[in-house]
Amino acid sequence: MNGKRIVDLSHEVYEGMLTHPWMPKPTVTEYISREQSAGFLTGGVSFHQVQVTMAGSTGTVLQVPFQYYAEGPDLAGFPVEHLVDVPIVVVPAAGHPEIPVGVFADLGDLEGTAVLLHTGQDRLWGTSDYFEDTCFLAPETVDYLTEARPRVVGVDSKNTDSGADQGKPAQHRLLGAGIAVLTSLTGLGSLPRTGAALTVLPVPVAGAGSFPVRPVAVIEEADRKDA
Amino acid sequence: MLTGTRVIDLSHVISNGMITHPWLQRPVVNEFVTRDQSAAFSAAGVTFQLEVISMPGSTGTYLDAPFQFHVDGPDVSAVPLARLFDIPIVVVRVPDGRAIGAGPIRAAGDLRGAAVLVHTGHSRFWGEGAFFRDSPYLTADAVAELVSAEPLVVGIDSQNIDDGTDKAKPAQHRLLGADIALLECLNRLHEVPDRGAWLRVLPTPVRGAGSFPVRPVAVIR
Repeated sequence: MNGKRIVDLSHEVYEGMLTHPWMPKPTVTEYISREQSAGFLTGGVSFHQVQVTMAGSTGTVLQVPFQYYAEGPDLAGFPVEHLVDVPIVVVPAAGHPEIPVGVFADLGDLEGTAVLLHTGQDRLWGTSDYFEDTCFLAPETVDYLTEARPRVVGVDSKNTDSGADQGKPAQHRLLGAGIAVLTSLTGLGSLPRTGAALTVLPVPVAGAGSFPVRPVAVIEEADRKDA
Repeated sequence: MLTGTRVIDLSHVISNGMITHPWLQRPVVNEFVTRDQSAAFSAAGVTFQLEVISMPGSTGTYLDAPFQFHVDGPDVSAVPLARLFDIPIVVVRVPDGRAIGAGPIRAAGDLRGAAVLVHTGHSRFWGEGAFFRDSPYLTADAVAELVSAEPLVVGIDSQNIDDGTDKAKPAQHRLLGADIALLECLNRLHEVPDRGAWLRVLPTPVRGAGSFPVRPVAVIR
């Protein structure tokens, strides 16, 4: 087997975590407990079953056009083959509360890629600061990306939009252009600028426009001299 | 996606109120913020919808992690991704089998490190009552054969990998006990070649969940 490294770009989802200041927190309830199941099984066998309740925007989230467009594809309808082995371009974007279009200077063609904006905000994950002053895309940045036609745009901050902007230009326009959006990514600092491939496999929930996911970047190790 | 790659979606769609398991609560996809509601506070012409989704772990096409049957085993967030990503698939075809024995498993050849996907054809009944009746399952003999063959993943396209009336649940108890992840209610196995495709499963990392709905895919390069 050739070498390959799988980098998990997700945050864990757990009972009671803060999803967003004004959204319900996830619950992971023991629906059938181990003691309960031991009562109807034999030979010391037991299991448990959980009931998970959460907002679509919990943890590391995939957004698809249906979230902003009733006629757009939902999680079940968005073509999963567009989310497999998408060439990643990591774009350094730290130090800008409003990510300017200049971060794309000197980057080549972004068509068909996964543009992952590395702000470093994921270091605040799990603190209330994560929801304050989150980095977001400037309107010109949204214009640029809409023209460049990547397949996926992702950030390691809470939102591609400013919470104060009721026009939600990034989500409205990127999703309107059929571009999937990933928010609250982590681990972007360990990726090469180019050369990794993104795979996201969302649970196919009909009628849902966003859902927590487990995106990964796959990095093929360089060919060994002795190979 | 790279040119020349084919992706086969091995999952069933989950929708509000559908029966995916005879005695588990049905999934709820609830509009938490509706489009009309969001229009009231968004700029002109912009609306969105947010959902709260509630479902048992074993909804739709789902992954069972060792934690489901073994409290000390890894949950769906802790199964190493190296055991779920780009695993070579071996499809074992048992058309309209019911009690699947060791024979078809043994006949499939070397299974070490593989994802063994048992194709019964039962997935064609998905969404009908027939899906929950006469669902094919692995016998204890098949389970013993699989445990010694050391695959990384075992999957089936039926409703339950165990006989619903067998209180010892040998497939789940023993395969999960051997650190083998399970996939149940798979779909479209007829599109997957006997060998040569690669399985990818990326479960939402829900801590404390022994099973959770997934979108497994077979990748053919």
